[in-house]
Amino acid sequence: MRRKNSHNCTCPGRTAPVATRREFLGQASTGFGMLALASLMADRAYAGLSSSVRAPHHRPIAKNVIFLFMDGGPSHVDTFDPKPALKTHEGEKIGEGAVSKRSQSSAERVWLSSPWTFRQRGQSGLWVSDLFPNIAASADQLCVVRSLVGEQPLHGQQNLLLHTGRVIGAAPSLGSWVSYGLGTENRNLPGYVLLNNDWTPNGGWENFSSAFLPATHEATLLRAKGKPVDNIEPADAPALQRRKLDLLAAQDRRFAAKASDASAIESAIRNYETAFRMQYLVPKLADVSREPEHIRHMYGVDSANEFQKYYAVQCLRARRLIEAGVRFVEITCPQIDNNNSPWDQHGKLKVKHEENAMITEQSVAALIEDLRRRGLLDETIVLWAGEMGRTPHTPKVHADCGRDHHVDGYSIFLAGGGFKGGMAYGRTDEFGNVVVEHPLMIQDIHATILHLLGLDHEKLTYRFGGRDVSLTDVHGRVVTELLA
Amino acid sequence: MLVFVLLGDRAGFAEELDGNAFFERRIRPVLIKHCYECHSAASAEIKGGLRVDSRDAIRKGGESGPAVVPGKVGASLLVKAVRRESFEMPPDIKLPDAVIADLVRWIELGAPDPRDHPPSAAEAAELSWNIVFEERKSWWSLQPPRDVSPPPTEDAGWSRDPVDRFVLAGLREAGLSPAPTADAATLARRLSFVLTGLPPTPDQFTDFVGRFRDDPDRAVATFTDELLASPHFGERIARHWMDVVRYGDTYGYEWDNPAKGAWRYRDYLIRAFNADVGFDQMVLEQLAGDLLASPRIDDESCRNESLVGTMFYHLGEHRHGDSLEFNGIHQEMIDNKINAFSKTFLATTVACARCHDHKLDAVAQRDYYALAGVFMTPRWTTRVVDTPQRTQNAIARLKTLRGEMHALLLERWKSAAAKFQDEITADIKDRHETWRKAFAAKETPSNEDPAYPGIRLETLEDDTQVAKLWGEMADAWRTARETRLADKAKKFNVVTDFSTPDLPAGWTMHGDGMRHGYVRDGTPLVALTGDAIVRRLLPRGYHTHALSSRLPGSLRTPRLQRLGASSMSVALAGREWSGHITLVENAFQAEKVFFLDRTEPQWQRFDMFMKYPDWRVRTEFATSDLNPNFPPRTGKTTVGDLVLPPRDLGDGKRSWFSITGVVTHEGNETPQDTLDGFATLYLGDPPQTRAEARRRIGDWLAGAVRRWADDTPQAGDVALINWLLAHDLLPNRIADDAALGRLVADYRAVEATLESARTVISMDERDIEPVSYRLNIRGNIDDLGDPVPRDFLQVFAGQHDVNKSPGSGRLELATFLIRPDHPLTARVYVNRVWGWVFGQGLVSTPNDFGRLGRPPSHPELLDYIARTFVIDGWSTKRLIRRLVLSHTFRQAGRVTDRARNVDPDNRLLGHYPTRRLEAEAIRDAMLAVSGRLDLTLFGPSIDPPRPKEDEAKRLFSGPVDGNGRRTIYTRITLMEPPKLLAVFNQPSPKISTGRRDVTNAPSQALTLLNDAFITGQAEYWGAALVRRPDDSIEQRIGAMFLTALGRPADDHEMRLWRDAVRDFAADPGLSERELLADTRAWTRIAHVLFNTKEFLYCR
Repeated sequence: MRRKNSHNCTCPGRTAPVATRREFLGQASTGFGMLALASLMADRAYAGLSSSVRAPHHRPIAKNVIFLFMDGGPSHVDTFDPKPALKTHEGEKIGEGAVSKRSQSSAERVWLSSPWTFRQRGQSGLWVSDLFPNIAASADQLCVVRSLVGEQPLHGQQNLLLHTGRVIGAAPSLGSWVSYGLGTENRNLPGYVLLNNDWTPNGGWENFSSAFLPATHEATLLRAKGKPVDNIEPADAPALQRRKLDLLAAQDRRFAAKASDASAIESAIRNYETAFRMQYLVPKLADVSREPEHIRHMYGVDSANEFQKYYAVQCLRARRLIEAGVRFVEITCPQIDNNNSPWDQHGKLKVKHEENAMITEQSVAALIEDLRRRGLLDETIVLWAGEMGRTPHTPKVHADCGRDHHVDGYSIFLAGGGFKGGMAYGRTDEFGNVVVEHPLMIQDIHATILHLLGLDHEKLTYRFGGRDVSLTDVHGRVVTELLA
Repeated sequence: MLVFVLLGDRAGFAEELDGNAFFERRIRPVLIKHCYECHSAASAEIKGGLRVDSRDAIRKGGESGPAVVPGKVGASLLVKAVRRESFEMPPDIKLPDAVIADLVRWIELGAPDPRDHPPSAAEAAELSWNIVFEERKSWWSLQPPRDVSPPPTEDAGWSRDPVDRFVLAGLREAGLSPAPTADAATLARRLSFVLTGLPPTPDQFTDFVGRFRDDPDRAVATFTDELLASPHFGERIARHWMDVVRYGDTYGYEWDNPAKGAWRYRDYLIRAFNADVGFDQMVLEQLAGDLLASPRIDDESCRNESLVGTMFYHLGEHRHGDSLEFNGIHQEMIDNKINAFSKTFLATTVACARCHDHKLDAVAQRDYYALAGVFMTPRWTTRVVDTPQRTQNAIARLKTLRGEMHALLLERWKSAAAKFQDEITADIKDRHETWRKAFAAKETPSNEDPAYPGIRLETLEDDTQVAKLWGEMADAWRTARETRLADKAKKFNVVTDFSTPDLPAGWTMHGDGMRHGYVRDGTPLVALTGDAIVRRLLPRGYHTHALSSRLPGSLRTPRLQRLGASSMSVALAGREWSGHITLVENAFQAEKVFFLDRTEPQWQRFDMFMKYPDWRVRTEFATSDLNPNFPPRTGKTTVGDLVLPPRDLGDGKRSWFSITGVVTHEGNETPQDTLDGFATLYLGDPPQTRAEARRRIGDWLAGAVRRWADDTPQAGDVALINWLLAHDLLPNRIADDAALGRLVADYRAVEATLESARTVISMDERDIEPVSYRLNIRGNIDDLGDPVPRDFLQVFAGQHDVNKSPGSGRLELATFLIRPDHPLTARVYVNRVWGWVFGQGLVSTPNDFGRLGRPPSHPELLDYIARTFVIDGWSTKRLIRRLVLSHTFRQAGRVTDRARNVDPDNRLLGHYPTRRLEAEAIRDAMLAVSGRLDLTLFGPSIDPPRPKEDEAKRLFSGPVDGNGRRTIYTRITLMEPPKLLAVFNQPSPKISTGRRDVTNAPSQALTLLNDAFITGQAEYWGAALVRRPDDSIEQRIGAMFLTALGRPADDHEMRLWRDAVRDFAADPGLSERELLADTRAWTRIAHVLFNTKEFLYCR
């Protein structure tokens, strides 16, 4: 049975939806699916490493992912992991027993309570703090994981781990794997789009890199302000550019006949046609000005705060891109000051976490709600995650104090796409200092996301350096406890 | 009991063995080789609960039951598994039938098994490793290249060079023939791109085509020699090598700090390839350039080239911080170094053995840690690469001038001091103004201040209290001095007070600033600017600016824990971003970097890290150019209120530091001033009147000057004289002294000729204690095994002296690699060069000659050229010359249907492949064709254009056209690589790349259509075109084709492009003459030409 196409998108270039390998092959045999997808695969020009078009390994539940990257490490004990003990023990030394190489810690540091009140929300009674009033309203959609364990409490390593499954990076990003694994549903759009807010996170662009996967799976960057994509603005008027392309094609075809490998030249020629269409399609998708007023308002596009306004635009664009058939959309946070990264509050926890929350959480909540109302949430996984949490302790309690790096039990949430809403999984100790139940690694989350997309994380591999390399390497399990 | 077995079926002869011997010969090796990895004490995880490494274990079996039941083949799960009837074991391969038969027979014999005790994990691992190692070391690439003769000539015309004979033989064997020779235009373009990365100029093209018509062989040879002699040859080959060594200008990660001196290494490569320095020499220099007995010196530029080569190690990503803050940092960095080294020179993936023995190649985990010791032993630090000749004349002259000034100052100041008593005792009203100022009241005068007695005395209204006050001051001084002296003797151990220039044991220094920086007490520091003669007198010790603040200097401690105390205090001064850096285990981007901003030396305490005896911690004091981590991340580049602007990358600073004493001690207190200067003041009875007291003070200060002038200064005198100078009490103005004024002018003129030192990050092994690196069990940094002695790979054991080296072993390692019979070095390199010339190496995985790589397409050819390359003196130019003169290279790109089927990847070289140009060549070709190209060689890298800058990470935007310079001079920032180049597959600079990806993606089309650089070059060319005195559109199109594509346009193309000119014109009704002047039309034509595949590809 074919899944109903709930997008009803008439976007040019959109291909029919694909459910399983069998259906895929059936469709491919008509020639259309295969051609459409193959045209987007940027094949390597030399033999031996050519990529193949892929289809799901099993029947997928979700089709798309929106990754809300909370760069810098939002504090788990101030958002989704309530710890009343921090209040009762505030100011007390944490002692040697609480020191860990997985957090910036020393015995002399003292516990620090949360400046925000936690409440149970919705039908489910899921705990969310007052830092996130809008997200809290969607509590019944959230599948919170409180027991993530990282490797080193450092931004660069953890960012790369979160994205590529390895602290050293040099491997494809989650979005690249998804794009590679499923292909795109729109031959005029990339499979992995990064909605960036003018900020290079720690670890650099490698976080969004396709590494050894074909370059077409690299994140395509859409800026919040100004030109959305590099070189997307045509340098020429359409008619002139068309004329240039025609001349070019005429000349190139003659060259292809002389080249030793005509097919590489032919596919380069075809790329010009795709590029030509992208120039008009991408800005159209990026333009949210014609969205209804109430939608724009719900996301916060009309905010007086410039950071919030652009974050809201990016969230709204994320929905539009998903509708148009982009598989994986990632949104970065804006950098509001000259801090190392947006959520990295070593000091001024209260002020700056509130500022970050103000900028992002209304749009995040709006996105979840908007997807739900449109029936898209069922097939779209929303992943909200930073690369780490923050220490439940601090060197000294004072008005401007903050929390430092912490990777032993931090919280993220997932919503939609087959994740069970209104639940919290895993447990940290009474201070939120260490995982005591159901520790998970980010590779487990990766495996689970791939699973819901119909991909087996052990089978989704690419031959590189003589090995079949996967996103999760030797790690990762599908965490069925999180599934609806 | 003896069991007799007949083994005729396999061995081919009858053999009698007892049961145990049968086990030893036939069974044990099979178990070790195929089963131990998962089923022994050595296994990370015992699969199925089964161990087969002892008699009891194998009979007891695992979760599914006994593996071996003596005498009962049917009940023995082992047999079922190897027959693949139940489990399928071993999982990867089915054992040969003969081996299975042995196992069956063994069980039938009652499974005799002498293994009473299970082995330890280490024993099992070693047993298992030894068996696989013996097999793996016979791998083809580990055998020395064979001495092979080229196959007989079949086609004398085609295969004159042996290279062609090998290729032709391969083609014939597959029933294929070589493609015909390419036409002259194609060859000219191919040669030009392969050898210089630039398109041929129309003149080169015309020349070549003319000569080719007469004598193709000679034409090719002549053009090749021209191109090899071009300075742009070095740029082309250097860029290829930069892929291999993971070249980048920054260190990426969070802050993208600059990789100090990286561009000097890039220039070194260009010079080396242009000068055709032997590859053997380049191996020595890149691995051990700091250790060569006779380094390669370029006399003209006064540069020690060999020392620059060692920058090879310091490329790649560097994490900031150190392993004491976050353990794991240096381990990841050393992994990058081992990976780059082994891929670059050995085409072997040694880094795979960080956690376990290599799964497929002859590399043990021990090998990884043996190499880690080799690379971690030296200091990874900055060196000056100038030879002494660069500065020696100027320095000698400065010393002479300073000596002459010193002599004159002695006279001048001595006579000035003779007047002190008179000046100071004059009546208060008309008293010498400067003295009055010098003793002006302060709120809380310090008793260390030379003005202290004077200030106190001036507060008295009359003479009545003089004796009392004087007595009090003298007593207070005596008490304080005695206490402080006693304290000093008790609490501090003097490491050095610099009474001699000798450094304490284990300390090393570097740079002219240190080499010429030692001074005796009271040496004048000549003022380099302003109206003063001298800035001050220097106390004894080292002052890197004693002659000039252009001179670099560094001073490096031994391992701090070796100093035997919990603290060290150093009397330090410095300015202009001199500072100190504390390095834990070579911390590759140390964050313990601090800067100095004071003129007078003050004691500063340093922790000796005694709590961490196992970490190697050292401190370096350095001027900015010798600080390997200067500038550090933007937020750390501060001292006091000073902040280094992010755009300032720290070059050419007048950075200096002084060091005048080192003590060790316990506790946090630093030594106190012992108030030596006052000793001569308080001698004798107290004065009774103010006048007398003033005279005493005048005489006291004059005494200091006198003693200095007589070359008998006492402790504290220099400080008193500097106080006098600071208060303008000694003559020190150029305007007042013609003789000294002339000397100062001369001094400044000579000083101005000094240039900043050229520095790179290199290695330093002087006064180094070699280390053995501890094995990380399963690669876990917290699970330390035994120290592994420094060594090279086990597979080369006994062939080199790395393990006998008194130092790191790097020189011995490099020396071994360039042995003529080394199986890898020459093979790996000639294969790379082959790939640069033909697009694909004979081994198509140039970074992996192991089992994960592909075997050579022409093993004998590879050996042949590797050997002849070595015999020919490791000359890159002669190797390339030979390859491009071959007929194999000269083939056209024509592929027959048969060849497409038989040899789709062109492994047999039956044609020359059409290849997309590299990112650099595309950009350079556009600049060359548009006329914008600036062919200047060398120099600091130029920022690429960026849509947005990030000051904190020093990601700055440069000119869109990069000032017209070749692409090799674009700054490669790891954190955000240049976009235009990344789109066309310039590789990530984090890891060694043997062969670039060549992708084909819509983003490339978008770039070529809309990127500002490309449209800008089209405009530049368009503007130039309309200035050409062409008579017709055809003539101009012909010229454009020649410039851009290296060939004339044919008739069809003429018509096609002629029509386009009119289409693209501002107005379709223009006359031909007007069209020729229409910039808009020609800019558009130029843009389309830049987009043609023929422009972007080379065939």
